[in-house]
Formats: sequence, C-alpha cells, structure tokens
Amino acid sequence: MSTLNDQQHDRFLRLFAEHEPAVRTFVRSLTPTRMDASEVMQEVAVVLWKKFGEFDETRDFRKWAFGVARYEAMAFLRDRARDRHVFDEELVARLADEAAAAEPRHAMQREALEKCLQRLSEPQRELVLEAYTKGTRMDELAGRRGQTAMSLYKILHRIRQALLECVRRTMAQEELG
Amino acid sequence: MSGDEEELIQRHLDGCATPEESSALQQALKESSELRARYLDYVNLDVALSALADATAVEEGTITEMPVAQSSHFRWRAFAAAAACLASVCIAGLLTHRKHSPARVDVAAAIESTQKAIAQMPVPPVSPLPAWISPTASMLEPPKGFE
Repeated sequence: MSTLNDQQHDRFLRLFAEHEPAVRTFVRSLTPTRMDASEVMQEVAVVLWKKFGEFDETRDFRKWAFGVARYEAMAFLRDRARDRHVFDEELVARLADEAAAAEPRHAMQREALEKCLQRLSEPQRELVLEAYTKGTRMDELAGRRGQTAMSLYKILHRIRQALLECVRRTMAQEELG
Repeated sequence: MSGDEEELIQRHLDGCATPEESSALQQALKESSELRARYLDYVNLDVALSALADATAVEEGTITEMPVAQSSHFRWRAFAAAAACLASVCIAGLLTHRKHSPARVDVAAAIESTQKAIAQMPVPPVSPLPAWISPTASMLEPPKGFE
C-alpha cells in the first residue's frame, strides 16, 4: 500500500464524497440485499483507498470506482452463488454495464426525488422514511400501525410507484424547460 | 411491463421474494431491456430512500433539525455530502493525524463534528482499518459495544 500525501488525501476525500452515491447505487444493482450492498461497499472503499496512490488522476474516478466495485461485487456473489436470490453472472454482468451507463439518468432521478418526496403527504413521507430506516422490520412496523405486513407492502408499493412516476414527470418537465 | 413484475422487483429488492420468485425475476430481466431499466430505477430509488432515511435519523438524533417542508434543497444532497464526508473523514482520521488545511473550510466543519463524535466513543480507534468502517451511512452507526 502506497502512502498518500496530504494533497492526494484531500483529493481522495473529495472524489469519494462526490461519487459515493453513484458507486453505492451501482453496487446495490448487483447485490440482493441492502446489507449485502453495504458489505461490498466497505470492501470497495478500502480498496479504493489503498489503490488511490496508483490511480491515474487524469482518468475518470467514477469509472475506476465502478471497475473496483464490479470486481468486489462479483467476488462477493461468487461466494453466494448457491443462494437462489443471487442473479447469475451473465445477468449481473449485463446489469453492471447498464447500471454504469444509466448513472447520469440516475443522478437526475436523485435530484428529482428531492422534489417528489416533498409532494407526498406528511404521513406517506414519514412511512416511507421509517420503512427505509436501518433496522426497521416490516412486520414490526406493520404491527405498530395496526396493519398486516402484506397491506403495508402494498401501500409502500404504491408510494414507490408514485415516486418513480413523479420523478419521470419531473425530469420530463425539466428537459422541456 | 406488468404491475406484477414491478411488485416482484420491489419484493426482490426488499429481500422478501422467495427463491422461486427471484429466479423468475432473473429470467424476466434477461429477456427484457425495458424491465432491466425499470429494475435499475427501483434500485436507485431504494438507495436514495435508504440514504434519506439515514440522514433523517441522524438529523433527528445528533445533528440539527431540518424539517422537510423548510428545506428547499432537501436532504439527499445534504446527506450525500455529509455521509461521504463522514465516511472519508473516519477513514482518514483513523489512518492519519494531520492538521486541517485552511483551504478545506467546507469540509472542516464536518470533520470537526465527526472527530468529536468519534472521540466520545469509549473505545479508541485501532489501526489501520477496523471492520466497522464503512464509506456510507452505515458507518454512522457505532459498532457493537460502542454504544
């Protein structure tokens, strides 16, 4: 592992901060669960940090990070190949290519999501954020709300559909504007 | 694309699909580029909502109140910057002992608050990279035994 000097250290922090959401989305597209994605992201961050001294900074950091992330995700998935929730290598490779190509669109979607979340009603927004809070169990959340897990899933399903539709409309309007 | 396929995507991403359902989704994804694009959109939504939820929890717990309705810039960007800075800072803080450069004013506040939070943990950080280090919001949770 090469030692980074102060300037390299600063540049790494800035580049990582800038591209972390994209890399995480990329990793999540290849892994079955959020926990799996977090585990892979830990490895990706460590490898990027260790290898940054060798990184040619005239190159695209995000592309480099995607390459590292793809390798780490593939290694992770190979260890879990018997899990039938894990997609096979052919599909993972295709998703990796398409996820990388889709990142500019996804970045715009994340921007639009800010607006769309504010358009939800307060109870809807609170529900969706609670459902996504780390450690939340759907069955427990449903119990607190006096609902079955299935009915809660259906509500969340509709909210997520609505959010994606709102994101699509928002992006279309911004393209026109 | 059918509503059933969208529901299947969501169930898979929530970790609620059966092995048979995930296999069926895999086959459907192989056959349809449109479905793959939709799948990736849901992945992006999943990650963004997780990040926003984490940011909300952090804000309510340890940082500042920032009601959604009052935030024109909303939380995603704030979270993305804060979480990534926090992640980077933790890596850096554990690996190096260095002075802050005056040129890093925008990052300095995040660094300072994070280092204070780390300093308050009862167990000192070890080098070079403890297993609980994460580049993202997940690292905002202290490891077991630190609470």
